[in-house]
Parts: sequence; C-alpha cells; structure tokens
Amino acid sequence: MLIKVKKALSSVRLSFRVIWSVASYNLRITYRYPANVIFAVAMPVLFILMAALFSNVVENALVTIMTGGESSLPRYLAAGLGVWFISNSMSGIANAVETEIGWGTLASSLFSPATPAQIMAGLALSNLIYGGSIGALVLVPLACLFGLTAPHLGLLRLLLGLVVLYGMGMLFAALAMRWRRVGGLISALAFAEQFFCGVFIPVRLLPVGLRCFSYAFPQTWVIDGVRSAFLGVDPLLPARTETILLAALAALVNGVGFAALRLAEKRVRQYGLSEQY
Amino acid sequence: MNRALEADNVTKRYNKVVALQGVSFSVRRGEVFGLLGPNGAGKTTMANILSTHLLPTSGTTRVMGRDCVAEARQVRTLVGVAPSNPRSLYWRLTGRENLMRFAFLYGLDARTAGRRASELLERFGLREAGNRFVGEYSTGMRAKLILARAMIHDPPVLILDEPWATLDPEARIDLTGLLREVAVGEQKTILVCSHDLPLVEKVCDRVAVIDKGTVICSGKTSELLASLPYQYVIHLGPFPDMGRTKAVAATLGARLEHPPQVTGRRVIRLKVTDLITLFRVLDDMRLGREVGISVRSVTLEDVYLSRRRQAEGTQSGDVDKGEEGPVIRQTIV
Repeated sequence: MLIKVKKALSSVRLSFRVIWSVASYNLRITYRYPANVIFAVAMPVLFILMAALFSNVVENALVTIMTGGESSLPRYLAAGLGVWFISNSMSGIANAVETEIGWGTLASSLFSPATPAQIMAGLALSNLIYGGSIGALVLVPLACLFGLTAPHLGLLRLLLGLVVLYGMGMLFAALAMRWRRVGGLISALAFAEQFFCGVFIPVRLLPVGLRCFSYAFPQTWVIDGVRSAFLGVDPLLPARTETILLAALAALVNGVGFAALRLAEKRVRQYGLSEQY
Repeated sequence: MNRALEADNVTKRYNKVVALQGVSFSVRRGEVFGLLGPNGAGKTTMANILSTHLLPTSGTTRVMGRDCVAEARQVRTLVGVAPSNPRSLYWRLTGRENLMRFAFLYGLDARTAGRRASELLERFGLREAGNRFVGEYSTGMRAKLILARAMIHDPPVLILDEPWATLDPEARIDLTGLLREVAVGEQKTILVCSHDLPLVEKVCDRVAVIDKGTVICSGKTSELLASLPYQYVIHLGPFPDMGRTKAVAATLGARLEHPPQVTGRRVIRLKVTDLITLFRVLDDMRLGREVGISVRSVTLEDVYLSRRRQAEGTQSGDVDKGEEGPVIRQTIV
C-alpha cells in the first residue's frame, strides 16, 4: 500500500516537473520576443493612465455602459481586462499548439514519455502566467489607487472561471492537434463567444431567443462572474447557484477537454502529427 | 534476448496509401543499422512506428523486448529520436536550455539534467555555443544538438532520421565521425534512416533497403557489396570522337545501350570483376593518354540501384541508366 502511494506521489511529482518545465521554458521564449515584453508593459501602463486621467475628469462619477449596472471607471477597466483575458485565452492556447506543430517541436516533445495533456497543461500554464502577470500589473495598482475590492465569492468564481478556461484551452488544443490549422475556426468561435457571452453586449440585454445560446457557452458564466465581481452587478443566477454551476462546468469542461486530447493523441498516432509520410 | 529492435511483418496504411507492406527486420544490440530507401519509401514511417509515434496497421514492433504499442511509454524512455527537421529545436532557447527542457520531459531531475547537458555539449563541441540561442547556430551545429538531445536521457537505442540532410560536406563528415564515436564508444544501438548511401556505408554494420514500403534486400554491408556480379566500376573516356567510342566498345565486346549521339557523351562505363584482364585488354588496344580511366570499387549505391531495378523487374544484365551517359553491357569478367 505504502509502495503504491509512493509510486503515485512520484508520478504526480514527475507530472508537475514536466508541466512546469514546459511552462517555464515557454515563458522564457515568450519574453524573448520584444513585442511580447512591450505589450506586457504598455498595456498595464495604458490601463492605469486611463483610470488616473479619466477618473479625475469624471471624479466620483459612475459609468453606465449597457450593463444594467453602474460603477466607477477603474472598476469598468478591471472588468474589461478580465473579459479581454477570457476572450483571448482559448485562442492563445490553440495558437501555441499550432505554432509548436508548425515548428516541429511538439512532435519532438511527444517522442518523450510526457503525455499531450501534460504538454498542453504546461503551455496553458505559461499563457496563464503571462496573461495573469499583465492582469496583476493592472489590478494591483488599480486596487491600491482606487480601492478596488471584490467579494470573497466573487474571487472564488474568478478562480473557478480560470479552471473552466483551462478546460476550454485543452479542448482547443485538441482541435489544433487534430486539424492543425484551426485559426479560422477559433476566430469564428471567438466572435460567437464575444457576441453571445456578454463581451459586446451583456447577456441580459440579448433577445430572449438568443440567450439560450449564451447559456450554453461556459464562458458566459465566467464573464458573468467577472462582471459581478468587479462591477457589483447582479449575476444571471444567484451568486451561490452560479458558483456551484461554475464548479460543475469546471469539472465537465476539463473532463471533455481531457477526453478530446486523448482522442487527438490517438488520431496523431494513427496518421502522424503532420500527416506527411 | 540479443535484439534491440524488431519489426515483424509491419504494415502501415494511411487511408488508401500503403506506406509499409510486411516489413520485417531486426537489429542486434550495439549494432548500427541503416534503413535505406528513396524519398517516400517508408523509412520515416518505420522510424515513427519504432519510436511509438505511430501505430502500425498490423504487425508487431519491439524495442529491447518491449512492445511498441502495448508498452509505448516504457519504450519512449529506451529510445532517443533525432528527427531530420532542424526546426524541431526551440530557436529562442539556448542550446543548453533546449537540452534541459527535453531532459525534464524524460523525467530527469535538475541536477542530472544539468550534468547530462554539460557532458553532451562538451562531447559534441558545443560547450562555447551552449549559452547562445539556437537561432544563431549553423545547420551543422543544430544537427549535433538534435543528436545530443536524443541522447539526453542516455537511451540504449537511437533512431536517427536523415541525420545528414541539409548539411554541407564538412558538417556531414563531422557528424559521421560523431556517430561512429557514439556507436563504438557508448555501444548504443543505432537505426539510421537515410538515402545518403556513402555515409551510411561508412557508419552502418548492416543495412536494409526499403522501397515502396517493402524491404528489397538486407544484410551486412560487406556481404551486400560482395553479392553484386561485379566489384569495380570503370569509366573510360571521354573519347576524342564518336567513331573511336564505338570502336573501343566493339573491341571490348560491349554493346551501346544508349548511343552516345543521343546523350552527347563519349564515356564508356564498365562493370568488372577482374581488373587485370581488363587492363591487359585496354593495354593491347593502345588507347593513348588522351583517354582517361577511372576505377572505383562498388558501393552501397550500386547495390541499392541494382536491387531497386530487380524489384522493379526491369533489370537486364549489367545495363543501367548511369548518370555518365552511354552504358555498356560488360562482357569482360
């Protein structure tokens, strides 16, 4: 029994080592492209400048932008950043997989005992750290300067939202492994997501007939969590129910994502990663 | 169990394309084995099946006695794969970082990974370059790094897919020396997939020639060379005129298969076993100094072309469509 536990622990440790190595080296590559560094610095500066300059202009004024709620400009900026992060996260992981396939580095990684799921997890983690670091560079100064706070349940929903996004990332990574060029599909889905999930228009303002599509997208609930956490607007469902729903979605989407990756791996072993022979 | 690699009746189909058809061979431990064949012959497919990257449609493959399908993860720890694509490295990572990253994928801890990376960089002459981005490397340096990466977890078996592709002559010689060193020094089993026959001949103990998905011959390099009905290839010429070319060919009892007036070349190619007899005949003919004579021993390339023609069923004695132009049926043996 003890040996089994030791083996399991060793396997978990090995798995984390693989995931961390993929993530850490991918981050090094990311930060070695000057454009990525410029973006990572410029975006927080831009956000903070906007908050500082325009909050002074409309001091103490509350902003209402089609959300059905009203809040201060820094809070809108924080929510906007969160929504931007969500709408870009799934294309980010798919792009990373596409790039690795194009380079031939994914094939080399798959010659090792590491599984596609571990490699995808590493890529997703590096994306999360890169995006998260930008988010932190915006949110921490905003919180300090403008006293932004989020309710505890809101923070939990944000965390669960990240787990849901990770599952979505696995799903799109599987699509990229299966079809290699999924940029068009991702763009189409990203647009659908932006339209239906409350990026352009809050879900509660959509016609009733369209809302059923919105509810089917896991991102709807993640974005709703961000909006309610930062803007204080009422969530689509009661906060507690939405938290449970997000937890269920996190399990479901990750399960589906993992299964999709396994299927993609099977396909890759049938036909090869590049399907060239 | 002395076999490091085994392929037994392996068939691989990609939809309607048959990439491999009943391929069987085995490689002994510590042996350097060459899998030869033209582009599209199925070499890379075979390498991918042995490295568990692809599943065979039927047949079995084993690495160090372990089944490549049922025990794929264990097999991956036993095999180091060096693909031909130089882009399979991370160009924005240094040589050392590339090795470290892949070492972690094989489960090595940081200390072991660092030690192995240093050893391999030193061994392959990349110590100085180890801290430079791979994007700044020459193609030869990248080929070495890919080989080093394949060896990072110290596997008993190496599978090298077109290791000399894209290399200049100097880098080819350099890499060939390294491969021999690895094969002899570390007693690794190496499978080399290539169509670069002269280099394969230098490195490999045994070879199998694969064409259109089937093995058309296999054996020790020396045995395959000895199996040809001739041991030397002679080039006579160029002759000053066509008339002289035909006269010499007639004296040698050779028949012009591709008349020089068609190809515009005045060189006669002969395949012989007995050089002394041929030189006596040539001496009697008093060819004069204006006609050059070159002699070379048979190479794997001759074996390869001969077996390919046999497989295609188009062989007719010693006639071939050599690159030199007119081809003579050799009668002097």
